[in-house]
Amino acid sequence: MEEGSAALVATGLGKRYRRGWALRDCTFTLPAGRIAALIGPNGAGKSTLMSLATGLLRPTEGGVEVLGRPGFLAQGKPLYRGFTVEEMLRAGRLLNPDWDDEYARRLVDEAGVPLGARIRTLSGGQRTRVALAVALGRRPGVVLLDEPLADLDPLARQEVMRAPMAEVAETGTTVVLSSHVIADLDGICDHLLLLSDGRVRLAGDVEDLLAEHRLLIGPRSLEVPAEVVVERRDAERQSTVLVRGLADLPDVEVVDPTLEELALGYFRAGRTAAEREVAA
Amino acid sequence: MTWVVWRQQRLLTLVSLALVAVVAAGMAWLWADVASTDPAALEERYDFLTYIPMVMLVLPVLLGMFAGAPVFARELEQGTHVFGLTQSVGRARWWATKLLVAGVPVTIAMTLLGLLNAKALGPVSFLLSSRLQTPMFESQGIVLGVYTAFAYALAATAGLLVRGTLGAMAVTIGGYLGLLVVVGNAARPHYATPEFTASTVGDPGVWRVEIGYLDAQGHPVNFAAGDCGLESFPKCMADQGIAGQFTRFHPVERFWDFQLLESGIFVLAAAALLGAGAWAVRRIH
Repeated sequence: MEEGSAALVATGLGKRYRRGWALRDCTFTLPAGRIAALIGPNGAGKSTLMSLATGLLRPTEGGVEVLGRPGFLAQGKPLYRGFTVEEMLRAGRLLNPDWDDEYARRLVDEAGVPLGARIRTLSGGQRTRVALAVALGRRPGVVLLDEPLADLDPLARQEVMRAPMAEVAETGTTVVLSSHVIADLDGICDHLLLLSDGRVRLAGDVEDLLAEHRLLIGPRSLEVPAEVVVERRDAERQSTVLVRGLADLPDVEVVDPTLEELALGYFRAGRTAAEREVAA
Repeated sequence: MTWVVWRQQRLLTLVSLALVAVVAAGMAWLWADVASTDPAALEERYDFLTYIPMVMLVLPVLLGMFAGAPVFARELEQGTHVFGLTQSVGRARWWATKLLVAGVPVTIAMTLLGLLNAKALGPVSFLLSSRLQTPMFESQGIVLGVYTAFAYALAATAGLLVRGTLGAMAVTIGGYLGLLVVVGNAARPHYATPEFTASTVGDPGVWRVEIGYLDAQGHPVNFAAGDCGLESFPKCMADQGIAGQFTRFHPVERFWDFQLLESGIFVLAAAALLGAGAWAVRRIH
């Protein structure tokens, strides 16, 4: 896969359910070969975006294009519970003409999951590894993993995702990983896609984004040019301002934000913006 | 795809087929026994016959429902439809393959059972009712398979729409009984024009749809038995101008024609349900 080519392109993508818009005006490009974090608070539209990308849902407006076949691991990792691991792999093979059986079996084997075990008897971590093997066995161009860490303990989160994801990215497959726990994705992902209230608020390389942002901590009287402010919080004695692309100001403490601080700033800003839209 | 569906459905299918096999063994015994029994002794020998229609009335809806309700609803409940729909198999093919693999075995088994029943119950049906009439009509012939297919189509489509196995079962029982009662009472007597005879019909095999009184000119008249008072019935009838009786009936030879017509109605209903299912499957996600 060419470096710099796009794995996923969304153009004006929107989806409306009966209760309202779940996703609107989404335009972004995801470069190939990346491990992208799709983050957002609950109800931000993460699952909707993934369902649209895999073709499970049809967009109400706009469109989304995926390079190659999409692979999908849905929330809750649905697998046929009565099947053995072996039978689950067989199902993958029979339902996909280009199935890479050797690769899928190696992934299961590396996870130490016995082939004869029934899916319903597997632990959360084992189940995730099998679901991952089945999703990757069809050799997708982009694999979308919806909250793959949600039901895992902290140790499993590290073991289950870090190594396989790094390896997957090496094969040229683009990974999109969603979570509402940002700390889980820190260190795994090199690309960020931030959703809030059905809109893309931030997209780009994680390191670039972190480098572009600053947290300013100063007195309440602190004046910051409005065009660079992402989000401002005023406490009784001091103000904390998340800014994008601003040189230093005098008398202000400047801190590099963590991924979590950056994300929370955008989530809050997104919520305020959404409230303004509703009011208007 | 076929193997995947078979693997999901096989336990249910095998249990259903075993159940049909047990019932069929009983009916095969009856067939052999009826053939070797003196026709005059039939009534005394088969006093257990009432139980057979009970089983035959329940079996199609039961098997159709158990095969059809989970086929989509259980996947929707467990989220596994997402797995099925995100492989290299089109939505329409996923739907059609599941329907066929889960539904065809029980439908064939019930059709065969119905044909066996037609042989076994043919000579003894009259003990309970005409073969054309509830409950003997529903207990034999090709309608058993067709009823099963209809209950199956109803359960499968309801599962897609209500997204739950239990809900789909409830819809199936209600919908199935509703159609069966309406068709049996409102439609079946009109599958053909009844024969008319100015007499009472003694043959127990015919389906008498109307019995009434005739005046001297041969016109049907009403008999008001309540006006008779203390008079004797024959005198009272004569006073009211009643000269005879008539019967409208379907002869027993119409059995297979009626079976075909009834099957046609249920096949059309099943096709309509499958059409609704084909529409509903495009909307699930």
